Amino acid sequence: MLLETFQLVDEVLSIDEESQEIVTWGYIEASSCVFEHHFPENPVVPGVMLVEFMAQTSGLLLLASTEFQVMPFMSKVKTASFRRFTAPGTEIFGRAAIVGIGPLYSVAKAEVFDHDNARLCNAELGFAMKGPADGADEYQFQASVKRLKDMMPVRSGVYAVSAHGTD
Amino acid sequence: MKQDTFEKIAEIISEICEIESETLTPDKNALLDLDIDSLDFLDITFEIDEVFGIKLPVAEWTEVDGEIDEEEVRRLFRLESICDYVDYLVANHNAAVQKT
Repeated sequence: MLLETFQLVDEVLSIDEESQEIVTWGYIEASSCVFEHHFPENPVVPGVMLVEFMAQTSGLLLLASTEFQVMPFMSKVKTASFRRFTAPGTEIFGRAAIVGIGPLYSVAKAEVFDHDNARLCNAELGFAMKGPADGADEYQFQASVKRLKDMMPVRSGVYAVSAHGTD
Repeated sequence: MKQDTFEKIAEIISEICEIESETLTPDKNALLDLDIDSLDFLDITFEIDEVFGIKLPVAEWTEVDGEIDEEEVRRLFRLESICDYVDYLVANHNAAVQKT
């Protein structure tokens, strides 16, 4: 997980397009400069990073559910609750499920858990769905889609795929 | 327009847009009078779909070529018109369910 560049999802562990659910994984590096000031002597993962982790998890699910034709952009944090402090050096798991999906707007519910299955936070997020026809640069759109497609588990049942390509 | 439909839709709009429900009347236009932006409007239509078990044709509404016809906006996005359309879709949905 690269907090500084907002590359938060390290792996997609599983994705079920039928039940429209996804599980992702990320490891929070303790060496990140984010913790220098958040907070000195008491490093805590910023809540905004956890919201982004849930958004990226939900976004990957929405992308797969639309067969990579439409890019979801988080447009609304409808509700969000932070239940425990998250320390650096923690591995976190994101789970998301689609509440409703449409051509222009979709809603997903997401949660973050730690290794002991303790819930760290949860949120309901709204997404504006945009494709190349909405003015996005076609080349950039396809490049983003390719990068995100590479994160998806292989359909043969191999569920560990690195954010940087198939292992 | 069914009063029950209006009350449910007014509640949705009030909650999403933080508008006092007393100010919502059937003659108000969601876009022109209430100043609801496109994002909130999508959220409202999403909630309406969820509550009433229907699918509003939002994509069709937003596929406007050329200049937007203000008369059409006045007619389509009046709360009373939205409620009438929801009642119509619910009736169609119920009729389809009864057939099966």
